[in-house]
Amino acid sequence: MIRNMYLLTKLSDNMTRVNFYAEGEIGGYLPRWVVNRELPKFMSAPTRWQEHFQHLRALRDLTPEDGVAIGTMLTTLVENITGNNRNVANKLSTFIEKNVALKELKETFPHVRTMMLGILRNKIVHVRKRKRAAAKVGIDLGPGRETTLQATVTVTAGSTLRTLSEKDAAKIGNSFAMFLLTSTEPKLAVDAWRLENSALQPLFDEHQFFEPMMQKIAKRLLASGNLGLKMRVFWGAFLSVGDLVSDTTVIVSYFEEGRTGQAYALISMVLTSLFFQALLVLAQNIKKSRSEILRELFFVVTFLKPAVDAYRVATGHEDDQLSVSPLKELSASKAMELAAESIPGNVLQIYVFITNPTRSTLHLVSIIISTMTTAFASAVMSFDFDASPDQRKKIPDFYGFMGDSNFERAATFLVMILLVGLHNLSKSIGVALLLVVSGQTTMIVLGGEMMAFLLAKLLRRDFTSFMPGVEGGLKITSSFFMHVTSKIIIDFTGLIHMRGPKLVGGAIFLVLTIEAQVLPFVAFEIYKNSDDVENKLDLEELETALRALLGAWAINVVLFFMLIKRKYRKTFWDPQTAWQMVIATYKSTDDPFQKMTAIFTNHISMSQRIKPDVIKYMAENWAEWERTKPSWFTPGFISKIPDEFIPQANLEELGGARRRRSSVNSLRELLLNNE
Amino acid sequence: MAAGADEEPLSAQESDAIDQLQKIASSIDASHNSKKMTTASPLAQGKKYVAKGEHTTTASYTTNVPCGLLELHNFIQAEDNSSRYIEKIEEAYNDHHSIRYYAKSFPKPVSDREWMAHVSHH
Repeated sequence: MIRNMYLLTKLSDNMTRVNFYAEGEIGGYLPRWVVNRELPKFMSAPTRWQEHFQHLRALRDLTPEDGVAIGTMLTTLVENITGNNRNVANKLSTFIEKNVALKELKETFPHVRTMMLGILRNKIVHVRKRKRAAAKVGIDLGPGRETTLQATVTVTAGSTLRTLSEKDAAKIGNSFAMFLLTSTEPKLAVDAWRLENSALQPLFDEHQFFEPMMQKIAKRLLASGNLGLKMRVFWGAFLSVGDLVSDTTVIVSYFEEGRTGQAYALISMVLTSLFFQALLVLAQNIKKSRSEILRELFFVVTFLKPAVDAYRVATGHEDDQLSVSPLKELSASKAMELAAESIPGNVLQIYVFITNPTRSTLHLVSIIISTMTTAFASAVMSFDFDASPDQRKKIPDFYGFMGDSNFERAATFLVMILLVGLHNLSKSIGVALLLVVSGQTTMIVLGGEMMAFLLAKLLRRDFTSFMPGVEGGLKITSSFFMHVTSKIIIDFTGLIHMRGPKLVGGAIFLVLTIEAQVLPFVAFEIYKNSDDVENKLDLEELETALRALLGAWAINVVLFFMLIKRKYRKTFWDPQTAWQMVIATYKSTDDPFQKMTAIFTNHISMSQRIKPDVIKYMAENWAEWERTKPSWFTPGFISKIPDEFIPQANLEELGGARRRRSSVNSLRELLLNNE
Repeated sequence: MAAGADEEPLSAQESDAIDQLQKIASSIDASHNSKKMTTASPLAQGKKYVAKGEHTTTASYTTNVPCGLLELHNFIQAEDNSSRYIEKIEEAYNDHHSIRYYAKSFPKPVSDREWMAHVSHH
């Protein structure tokens, strides 16, 4: 027997919730595959109703939620279709004919179908185009021989939606696949596509359903096996496994050479990295079941975590039970791997290379792989944050230095990889040379640098970390941990994202970056003049190598500043502190979202100086936000707001002193309260 | 599930009927042993629960249909006018709540089974 039940509940005049329940009892054992296959068939009715009524919605009534639904429905058109584009075209035509809103949209954008077709086909390779071009010059290309990479398109200047030609609409639609290929997450792809095609701006401005619809399409196209996703996961896995293989080989060779101390040191670095990654996994999945946590730990110990993280970010993975977003998890994981393993491991390997009388190619290859891993991970982190539409919206004066075209982004990414790689080699060689001369001197230099850095942070009243709601001893410990990690990462990678006022700050970033380039030359002089060092490297060759590294780094710096947008150059030397940035962001904008996120997504002490202004502003606007319910004004966000900022009457409505707040004093509280 | 303030309150008989329906739902909602289940459309993500030692499988999902309640109710009624059902009984409690039962024949070799659908709206 199969029982189905629908509960219909009125949510509003235009929205009805359907709870659907089905219970099947076949009177005996039923294989799981039969259940999995048959059950959905009995449960199709409510989504069928949803699709039916979704088609009837008028353009002016469409909300962001409608956009998500239409995006989902559109992508189902291309699922289960392989290699037959004509089917997609026919299905899309039928879809638009049925859909009242899209039919209305055709009046202002006549070639919307052509554009959407290009998007849904999601092809980097456009076979027909190549065939037509070949046919013009009398060449018959047989099946399977046609390949044309879709280059960046140039749409006729000054085109509006109404005047956009069919050819231009096709170009815009076809170009979407390339943005998916070169972006690390769906939102980035949509944002980059919008910025590249100014003719589309009215669609984003005038129709609130359009952006969520495109984001949903991007997410589902990425998840359905896009080349870009595969490439990203492949590189994540390849570099991680490559690094593991090279580290293992080097450890074995150290044991063979009798360098047991160094071998154990390298093993302990790998284990430390795994330990921190395991801690991160526990913190990230604290709300989940034991079996799910074990699965995540399995990814850590098998070194598959980078690939899994990359996959989740690229597919826009959503999970309410996670403590932070997959992008933040990926970045934290990379930062831990860099600080605990890649950076010290590289210094150690360079140290062994310098002191080893028989310098093997294996050791050199391992150093290069470690440098590449560090460079790629750092560049990805900077790229992801700078291109993120959310970050650009929250702090527009800091995020957004990269250009908007595919070429500019790809070129900037490449230059960032080179910058980090060269920076990492210079600093690591400098520290390794110092280590060869004297371990004590090295510790004094590095320890002194760290002390000076922490002192500078304290003197500028810039020590408290930005994490909101963290108080007591945890505030001091987490701030200390954050600053030490940030300093190590900047020292050895020059990670561009770290220049943010909330992390290190532009001015200190500049000083540390220059210091990293000067140190190898100082260390070289100490190494050259030391009488205690035996079996020295060829000094002339070493000096030439250091100069070459510096020269290449300087060229890349120039290229980098030529590529990025002019207005962001000052962020690389700006002395602004975290609290100064919070106040500046609050004062410089009229957008309530930017104002409120500046105050309440950072530690509240940072806005202490303008507290009366903020309270007054919120008292004037709270009622309006309650009435209009902007997307950022969620219960989760309200729980981050301390009581004294909420107007008294509204505070009582929220439960007064008993309302749920997200101020925490322990790590567990912090993670469990995280929205 | 409670009726709105401006609507007629549910009768005792009506409440009993709804309670019975909710019992079925609560076994799924309260389950800690549920797994994600793919539905016929990606518009909704379902979950299923297989009771150990019993030969039943329960599944559920929630979705929002962009139309008024009455409009949806009328649509469902119109859609239900199918000859697929071998039995169709409507038990109306009042103008805003009804329960309907359907029986559908399964193709051979599976013998006919009862298929029951309840629709409750308020």
